[in-house]
Amino acid sequence: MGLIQRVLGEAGISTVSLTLVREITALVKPSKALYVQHPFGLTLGGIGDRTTHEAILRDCLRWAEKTLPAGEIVELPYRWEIDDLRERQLRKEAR
Amino acid sequence: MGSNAEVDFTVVEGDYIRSKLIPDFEWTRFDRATEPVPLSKPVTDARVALVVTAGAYLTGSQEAFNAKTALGDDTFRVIPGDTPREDIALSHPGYDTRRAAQDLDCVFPLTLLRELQAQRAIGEIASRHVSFMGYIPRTERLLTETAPKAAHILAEDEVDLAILVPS
Repeated sequence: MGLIQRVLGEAGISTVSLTLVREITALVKPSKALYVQHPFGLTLGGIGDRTTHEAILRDCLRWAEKTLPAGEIVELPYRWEIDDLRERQLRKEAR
Repeated sequence: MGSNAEVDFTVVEGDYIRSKLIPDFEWTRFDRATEPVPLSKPVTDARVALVVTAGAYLTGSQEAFNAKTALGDDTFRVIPGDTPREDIALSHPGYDTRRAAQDLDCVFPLTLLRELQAQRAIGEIASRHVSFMGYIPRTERLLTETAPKAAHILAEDEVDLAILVPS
């Protein structure tokens, strides 16, 4: 994701990205990223969790307007507390 | 659930890819961040596009992403902004697409972005959006060919803001 974001930025397009893995984003260094601790495949939140989906998308819009240092990774207050899916994914024990 | 501070996914995933798929895999890394491009207008006036790595494609007219090769798939699909939900499918080896297939907004919030347009939270939704498939271990062509082509499409459509959503 960060690699694509770098290319879009170099083409002059304003961008903001979500990231599920801070460490990968730190390697790639896109211009501006928002970190959410959700599982792969549930980036904006759980199935049917419209409230969280909208909150995160609105956060993207809000942070897109802010001036930040290049490469900033902003930690958003979203954590997956429904089950241990994210932990298992990060250990490659689940998809 | 607890913190994942003890798990460095770059190590776990890197070891997995090297042992199962590509023995010489290395993460692509950069020393310097790209400079943010400031928005040229308030977001309430901006044309907004989504760029996702969910592996979304149009069922009737586009090929699914190749989720079965160790080398990944660096192609992309253009998804029109007015595409009905039922015309979009997901193909990705890295996550269980059955969850997001029940609610596409989890990974590709096209419906939600349309609603934000109706609420005037954005100026307008772009006419074209871009979907990649996130497993791309060989990144040279992505960086020099495919992602620049995607950028060209968004620039052609005079997109003011791209929101990038991983899976």
